Amino acid sequence: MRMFANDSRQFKFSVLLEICKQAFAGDLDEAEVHARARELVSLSSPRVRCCVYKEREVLRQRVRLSLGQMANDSAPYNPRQIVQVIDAACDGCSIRKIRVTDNCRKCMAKACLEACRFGAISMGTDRSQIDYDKCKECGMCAKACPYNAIVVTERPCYAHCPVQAISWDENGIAVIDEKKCINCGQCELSCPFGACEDISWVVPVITALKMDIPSFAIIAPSIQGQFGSANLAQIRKGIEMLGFEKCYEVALGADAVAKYEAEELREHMEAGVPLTTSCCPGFVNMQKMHFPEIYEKNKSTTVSPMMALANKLKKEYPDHGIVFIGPCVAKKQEAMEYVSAVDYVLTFEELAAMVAAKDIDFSKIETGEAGHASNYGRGFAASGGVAAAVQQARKENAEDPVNAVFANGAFECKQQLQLIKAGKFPADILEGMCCVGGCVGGPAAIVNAQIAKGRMFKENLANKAETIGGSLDKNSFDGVMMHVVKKEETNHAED
Amino acid sequence: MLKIEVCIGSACYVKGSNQVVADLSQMIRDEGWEDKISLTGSFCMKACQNKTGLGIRINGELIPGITMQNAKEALKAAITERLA
Repeated sequence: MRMFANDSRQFKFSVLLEICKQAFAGDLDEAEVHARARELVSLSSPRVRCCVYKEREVLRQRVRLSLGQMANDSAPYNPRQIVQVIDAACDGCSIRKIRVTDNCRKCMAKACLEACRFGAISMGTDRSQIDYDKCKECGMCAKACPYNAIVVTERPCYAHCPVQAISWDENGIAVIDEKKCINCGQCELSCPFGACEDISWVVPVITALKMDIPSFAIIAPSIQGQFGSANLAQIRKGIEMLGFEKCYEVALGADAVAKYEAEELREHMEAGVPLTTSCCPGFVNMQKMHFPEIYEKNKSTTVSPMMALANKLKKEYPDHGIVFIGPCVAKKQEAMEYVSAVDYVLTFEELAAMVAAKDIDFSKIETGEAGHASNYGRGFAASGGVAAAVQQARKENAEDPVNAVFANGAFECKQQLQLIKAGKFPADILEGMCCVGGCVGGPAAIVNAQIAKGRMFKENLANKAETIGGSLDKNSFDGVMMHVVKKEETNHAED
Repeated sequence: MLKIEVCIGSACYVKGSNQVVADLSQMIRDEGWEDKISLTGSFCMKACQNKTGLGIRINGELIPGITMQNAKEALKAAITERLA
């Protein structure tokens, strides 16, 4: 069954599907899992790498990640590092940033020579050539060439990492610096070889479901439109068919977050300190690790919508497990680095694999109960949605609109944080989302962000009248822990 | 009837609690304990925070010091003692 637009994602899905099938079928034996997964790569399957042996090594590391193990056998388990490099899969892409291609016509003007301020370009026999000992990779030569004969290429993982956490070893294999990585998953989204991947918890979740431990699934707002024509009610019912006692929309938590962040915003505005949002875990990590003073001073202390709903459910049903399902890999870290109300985090990819393993087709399910969340809470799925919900919460409280800036994607987040640091941020609230387009553009989303947004908009037209206040009247968050506590004291990672 | 709960929270899963579940179900079959023991799972029981090994409870009592390596023997002893 083909679900993904590109082969690399599709292959990841096939591995997850195989693991899910085996986990649902019986107790997993690790050796057997690897042996059976090997059938995915055979001598007769189409070659995508140099040989079948290399492909099988990639497969073996993928199986490890799918089983919740570190991709690299010798790496100690680290609950913080969700995104990992499958070193066998890394192509070690060319690291020469500037290259002259055969578009070069060895022209008379030689604008490239003129443009280079470091004397790195000379004219060779067929085309101009670069002396890499002198080249500073500034790209001026590429800009100067009228034939676009000089190209600037960066490794996709490196080019998309907003915090320079990616470097490479002496063999050109990508290495993630865990002290810098914010687990935003942009490298995972960009690597055409599927070499950056997230660790998966499908196996323990399936074990829990099989043992009938009462569990709730809570689904990210961006799930709307991810499964073809299936609507939210069908998706929720389908997830319950996997064995979850009930499936809730995290948009309920988002409604509560909008209200609490609006309250915080009022205090911040009185003090003249811009507020930064706290729903995107990649953005929160970026603040915590790279802009610590902003993290202390500006960041909203309201919990994320996921934590809000999980705290509410855990308070009401302390013996139930809570599994969050979203398009995000950083959420895995947010929920599982320390003990929290969320027991496990799955992605849409992993959900799709579980659903396929159980032969459930969401679009054929008789429609169940629709949700109660407002469109403002559901809007957290896309860039601009969080700030819009905070504005709405103010409106419902008869307050004036505020100036908001949406940072759409990790690089814009970084840019705006630098403005805050420099004291030049022009607005009252900064909404930060590390994925371009918002959560709908997440590294583990299934469909194209624009298509998902379109489907979402269409489905939510019928829900237009619901307000944030109305949603909270039906699902009260009174008495729920809505503010972040220092989690460092409850570390469950160390042995 | 003994009720055995094994934690399958992430910290215990990583330390092999899934394997312990498999070993225990095998042991129950081998020893013919099917009507004496009910085996179930649980989410985090905070054994990880108190660093008492894998989270395993027998009739609500946390059994400390269980690891994936000693699970078979240690649990067999603990169960036999309680069944006697």
